[in-house]
Amino acid sequence: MATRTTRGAVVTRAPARRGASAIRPVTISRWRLNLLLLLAVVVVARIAVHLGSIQTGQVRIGGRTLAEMARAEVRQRLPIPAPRGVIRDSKGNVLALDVDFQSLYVVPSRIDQKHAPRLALTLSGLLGVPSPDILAAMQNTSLYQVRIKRWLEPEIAERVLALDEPGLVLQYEPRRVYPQGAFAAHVIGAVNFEHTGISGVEGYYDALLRGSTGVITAEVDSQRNPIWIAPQEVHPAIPGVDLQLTIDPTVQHIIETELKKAVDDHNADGGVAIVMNPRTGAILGMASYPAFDPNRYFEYTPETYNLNPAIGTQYEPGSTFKIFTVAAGLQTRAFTADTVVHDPGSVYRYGWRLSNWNGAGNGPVNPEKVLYYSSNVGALQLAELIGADRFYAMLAAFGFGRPTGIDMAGEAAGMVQTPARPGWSPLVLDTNGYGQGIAVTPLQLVRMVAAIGNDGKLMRPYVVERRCRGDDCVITQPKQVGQPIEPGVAWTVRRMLVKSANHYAPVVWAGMTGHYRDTWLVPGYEVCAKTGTSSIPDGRGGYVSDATIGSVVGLAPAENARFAILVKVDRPRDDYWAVRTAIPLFQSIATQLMQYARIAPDMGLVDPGQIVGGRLNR
Amino acid sequence: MTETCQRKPDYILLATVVILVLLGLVMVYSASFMRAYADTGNQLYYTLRQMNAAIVGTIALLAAQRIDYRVWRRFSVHLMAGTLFLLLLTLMLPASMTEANGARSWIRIGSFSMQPSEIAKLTLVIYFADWLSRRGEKLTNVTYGLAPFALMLGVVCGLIMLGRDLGTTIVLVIIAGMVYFAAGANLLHIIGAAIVAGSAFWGLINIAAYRQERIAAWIDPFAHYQGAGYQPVHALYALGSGGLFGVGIGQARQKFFWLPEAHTDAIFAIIGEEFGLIGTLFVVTCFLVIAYRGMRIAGRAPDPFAALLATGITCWLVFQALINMAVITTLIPFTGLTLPFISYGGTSLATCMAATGILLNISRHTSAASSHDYETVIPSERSGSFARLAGWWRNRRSRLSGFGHRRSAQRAWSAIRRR
Repeated sequence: MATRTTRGAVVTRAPARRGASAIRPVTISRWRLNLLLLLAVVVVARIAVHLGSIQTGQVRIGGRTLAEMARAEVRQRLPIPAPRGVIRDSKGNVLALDVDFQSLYVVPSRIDQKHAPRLALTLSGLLGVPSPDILAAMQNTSLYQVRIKRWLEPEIAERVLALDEPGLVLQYEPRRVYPQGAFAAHVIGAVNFEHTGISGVEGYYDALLRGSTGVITAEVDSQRNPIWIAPQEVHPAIPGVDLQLTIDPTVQHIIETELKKAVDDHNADGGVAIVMNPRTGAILGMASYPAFDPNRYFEYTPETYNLNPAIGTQYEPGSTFKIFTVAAGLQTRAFTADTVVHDPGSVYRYGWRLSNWNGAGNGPVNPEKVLYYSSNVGALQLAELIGADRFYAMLAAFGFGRPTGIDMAGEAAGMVQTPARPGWSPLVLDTNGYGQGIAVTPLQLVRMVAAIGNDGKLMRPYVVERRCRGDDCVITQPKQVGQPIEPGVAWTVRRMLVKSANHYAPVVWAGMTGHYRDTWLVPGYEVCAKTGTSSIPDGRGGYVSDATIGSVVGLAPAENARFAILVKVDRPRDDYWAVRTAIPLFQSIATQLMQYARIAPDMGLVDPGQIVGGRLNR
Repeated sequence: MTETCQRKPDYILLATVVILVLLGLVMVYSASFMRAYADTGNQLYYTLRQMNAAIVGTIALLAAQRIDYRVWRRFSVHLMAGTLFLLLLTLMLPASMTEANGARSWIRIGSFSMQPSEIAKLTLVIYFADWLSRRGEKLTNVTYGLAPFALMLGVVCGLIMLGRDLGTTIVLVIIAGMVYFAAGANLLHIIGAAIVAGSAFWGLINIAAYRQERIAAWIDPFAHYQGAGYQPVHALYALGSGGLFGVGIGQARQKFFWLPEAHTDAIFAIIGEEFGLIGTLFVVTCFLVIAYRGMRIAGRAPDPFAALLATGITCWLVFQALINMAVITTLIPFTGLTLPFISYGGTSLATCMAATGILLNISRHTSAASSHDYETVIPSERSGSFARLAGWWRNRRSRLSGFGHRRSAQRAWSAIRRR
């Protein structure tokens, strides 16, 4: 009836009007419709029952309800990293800081495994990581994400980003950067891959530099960002403390350059140079060579980056230790500056022959001449005059045999044989008198000389001048740890050391003055200096026969000393007595420091043939 | 009985659909604002698009409700041809215009986008309703009934499977099978076809590794947390977190990028999290109401075409929804399907609403025998579908003067036509 159709007419027209139709219209059976409805009802019932069991907490996975599992996943404690403190030198130049670099992670579940080998090859070319390693990481579907490479260079990160691969994730991670490379490396130290300081200031002040990590307890989205519809608890991070060192960049530069030159020129194993402010104990410069680049510390041997030779190596001080013997004797009134001992060149003690370096005698010598000629025989007699009790008491007063307490990781204590210890004999006192049978660190030795330059006041050495948390700064106060000698004794020793310094001057100046007589070591200034040639124990009770450690320790200028200086060169190949290596090094450093400190030269202290500021052109 | 009488549309069905659509708009906003903000910077992006689709859908519903259902019959072949053309287009256009989530099922032109496979569901129902209602007793014949039917279905499903959209294919097969069953098919044929379809389905699973992974993830989703189990696990988390009464509207946590496709395929889980068991059972009940009212309309339809059309549309809306819910509750393996009326997806929403309009229109024509409160008899034999269309337009125009005039205007128009 209703529709006027061309094709559909067959069905919709009343059969009556058509008569006996060849095609009977389809009749829809009610039972079929009801069956479909029943099917829907059954499925609905099944879903409703299942919903009921899920949503009333009946489903448990590993003993936890779904709601608990969801909450455990969504509610997280997120660490807020605390930036590690910045390290600066005394002029404010940055020596160490944190820089955020992008690290590349792969999310294996989002990698198209068919294209993984090709992607691994592409990445291998960009990153320099072997492609089988990358491929293995991509196929490790048991982990959500795997790190492929840490700390990409920004250009590389950009090119990785340009690959537009959903399975590659770049995340910022802080990296410790030392913008000046190997400069003052042994002082600063290094941090390892866990961002923990392992040596130097980084190691000693690790807890302070690190600060404390904060925590956000919050509900998060799948990218671990807190969501804003839920309240969050924040315990903010406390940023690390910024450190300003006492290291003066110019001083540090001078000693590093000179030390490197001396070691390289004489084909030595290495060396140490320390410059200390005698009045405060502040370390103005501390260099060791060979140095390392803390940015790539892992490319060096552990001894290189873990050990700061200036504070961590112990050696026999040799002749430089005669300063102590003289100072201790004068302080204890065991002898006076006029006391004369006889030096025949060698003497026998307890069955052993003890002799001078060249075996030649110097006749009657007073303490000044003992230092001047570096007389072993004289020094051992002076030590005998002091006596064991007072000698070792003075050693303790100068802080030998225990760490100086400098604020750097890896300090050694030195070794002192005292009468209280087994194995001590009176012979030990004799050899100690000229610096053998005792081990000290370079820092202990330079501190003793600094005390002589500071009128006998022994200071605690320190390398951190200021610790700042934001604008809240703590300035390190110099700390006197004792007064082993009186100012008068200190003055007397200084006068002797000036003579001693001048005695070595010809090593530098002979070429210009044309004679080998005493002259001013640093023209225009009085400086104190004492050399030492240390024998190297061979570990079997004797000494290595073909190598020595040459060192010079001194003060510049002698009065109102601004710098206490120690230089030490290990095993110079072309200089058995190591004096021709260490003296020019000391002289060059002292000369440049006088210029840097702008101390006016006294033209009365310049000999013919000398020029102020002149150095040996090595 | 072919005498029909125009009655009020099925208001219960209409109300249920309106409730679902409104709930859908609210839930699409709630589930999509984070995703929209992350994708486009505008947290209303998906909501506004869904509202546009709802407006288009409402117009389509009202129009289809007015257009005599027999019009569709006239154009069933044209509609089918158009649909096949669009499906072919998805396979031939460049991938940038058609691909999303690994399936080629889109046609995108600028900001306009549509999913031909959604339209295919409606046109397939119309086509099969027309075709089957004209088969008569031939329907029980393999050569004239089952074989052409299976061939036609195979062509459409094949095109969709080439676009790698298994979910839609399953729904199409289920709808077609149910319409075929309702039309009076031989039960043995149905069983045989089901076996064939089942083995084809099994083959489709076995040729794609990701489908096998989905089966494994269905058996133990927690063991495949990092892979195919991620979405089922988070859907379960959402439902479980909701509990009896839900965490409150807008408070779902899983939509913060934990649950993938939170505003489309998995929106039922977000409803479960925000409204709890109460909310999910409400939605399930709504679809049960649609099933009951739809089958009631089919049972009272004036002719076999109308009955089959109503059956097909009802089965489509209801069983697609049930499959979607079964997926979310991990009763069946994962497959991507939208929840009709609720999920984000413009084509899906508009087509579902248009289909509802057709269903409502059928509800207005009921067999005289079973109708009681008819008010206007459509009398004219000559009044064709175009005349009806014109009448609808005129009615619409008369409506402009006010809702109260509608019935009188209609009566007046009937009086004119009766002359």
